[in-house]
Amino acid sequence: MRSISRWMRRILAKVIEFCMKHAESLDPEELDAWDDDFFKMDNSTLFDIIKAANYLDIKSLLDLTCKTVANMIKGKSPEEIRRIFNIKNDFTPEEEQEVRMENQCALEHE
Amino acid sequence: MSRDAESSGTAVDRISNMPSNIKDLILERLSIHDAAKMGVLSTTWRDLWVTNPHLVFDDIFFSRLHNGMKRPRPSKSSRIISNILLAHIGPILNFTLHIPMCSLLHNCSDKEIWIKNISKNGVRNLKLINPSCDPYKIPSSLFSCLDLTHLNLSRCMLNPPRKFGGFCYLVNVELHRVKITGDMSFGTQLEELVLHECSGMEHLGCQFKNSNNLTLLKIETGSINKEDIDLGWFECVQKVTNLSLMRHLFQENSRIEINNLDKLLGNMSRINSLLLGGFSLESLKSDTAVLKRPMATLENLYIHSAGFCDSGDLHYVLCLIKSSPNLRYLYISLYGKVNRSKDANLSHLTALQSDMIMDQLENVEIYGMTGTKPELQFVKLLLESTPSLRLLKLNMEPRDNPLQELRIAQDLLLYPRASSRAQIIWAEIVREYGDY
Repeated sequence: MRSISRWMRRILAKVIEFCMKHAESLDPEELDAWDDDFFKMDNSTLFDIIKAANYLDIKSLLDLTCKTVANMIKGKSPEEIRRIFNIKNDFTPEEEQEVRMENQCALEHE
Repeated sequence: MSRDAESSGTAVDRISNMPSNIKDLILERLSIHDAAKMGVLSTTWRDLWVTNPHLVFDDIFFSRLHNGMKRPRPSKSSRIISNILLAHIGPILNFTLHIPMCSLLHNCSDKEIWIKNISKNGVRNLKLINPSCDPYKIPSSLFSCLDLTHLNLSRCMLNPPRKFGGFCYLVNVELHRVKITGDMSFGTQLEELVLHECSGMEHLGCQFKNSNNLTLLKIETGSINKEDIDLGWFECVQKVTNLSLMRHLFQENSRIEINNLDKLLGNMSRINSLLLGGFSLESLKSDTAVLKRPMATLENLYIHSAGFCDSGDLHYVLCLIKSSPNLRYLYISLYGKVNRSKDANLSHLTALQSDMIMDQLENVEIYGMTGTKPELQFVKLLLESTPSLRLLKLNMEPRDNPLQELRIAQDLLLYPRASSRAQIIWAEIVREYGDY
């Protein structure tokens, strides 16, 4: 029998905390405020919860976590986004030129 | 924010390694500009951007586009959208086009090319918003979008080809100020139909002649209509659970009737929520078929712009309530009726009083009371006949008349209540009209 690692226990505890809060409270304003607080976590935990919500098929949690990630992206420059998420630039210099030209509409009018 | 300061610590790119359905969920929540930005970050995200199935060119897109330009240049905006569509690979599931008023894109014919493009790319969710007063003539390639599940059109003209068989998968249709010029069917899977100030609605009748899957029907008209509305073309409505018929009264217009309303209600044997507003309820005379057989499934009733000083409405509202023995929630808004005569015929009230018991009714909201006798009698009757009542919310019009409020409150305190748990509350915020 496999034991649940301490890490997994921590993530599951958070998921359960979310589910219980959303089951007991019906006031949308209260829930919004609680959610804002709940999602103040580091990226690593956030992505772990996304994967857990995806695996357990908890739509509301999956929806909110993806929205949280989207909000982290909105309005930031490509360099900032790379830094926040550690996305490695794996284009060759020629490819990068090409890609930047193709995406004029995204970059020109910031 | 803590997120910006601490990254994942081990410098691992977790977001790019997420399962593709999660990356899709994230992309779906980004504007076109932000999604395109993701596309310059790495080869993974470039592929994701190019295959992004959600292309939403809404007013946010256009305002960001125009912010970067000294003045809006329609050829440039048009080229950008065309380029995105051209570079796109794979199905486009979600397409929204909302061209802003100021843009000269209205006159360019690229829109037709775009719609043709997405019709070939399996579009499922299509939204076309035209803010100008000239209706946009939807190109025939719309009818080749055979994978369509959701359709939302605004200020357009629908010219269906002859013998169009309908969309096999279409479940939800919302039309705002759309003109329908010929008979057409949306398809047998249609579940929700919202028609807001549309003309040519009778052309949709062919799909409702026989068994269909419609569960939600919402029709709203403006005050332009001076004639009675005829709903006779809705023949087969057995599966409808939500019906909303609303007319916006902008001035003191004459009350117009809905023809065949009683027949319609009689055929809706599963109706759960009913909203009626701005129409004359005269067709619901107490001897009509619908009120002889009770609406056993009706749980929520919303009446908007009722005029209780007009002896007509009070009577018909009461008939509706009495025919709904399982009613749980009642909403009545008395606004919009300017001609309030003080004296009204209360005889039918007393007649109905004796045998009215609403034992499922828990929640009642009445907005726009002015304290007239019929109103108060109505509230008294409600309090007497609702043993399960938990909440009665009231609101007065005009608002700041504390003496009037006190008088009404004093009257209310005297009325006997069938329910010991009933609370009477003065509402601060008025809800517009029932939301489902």
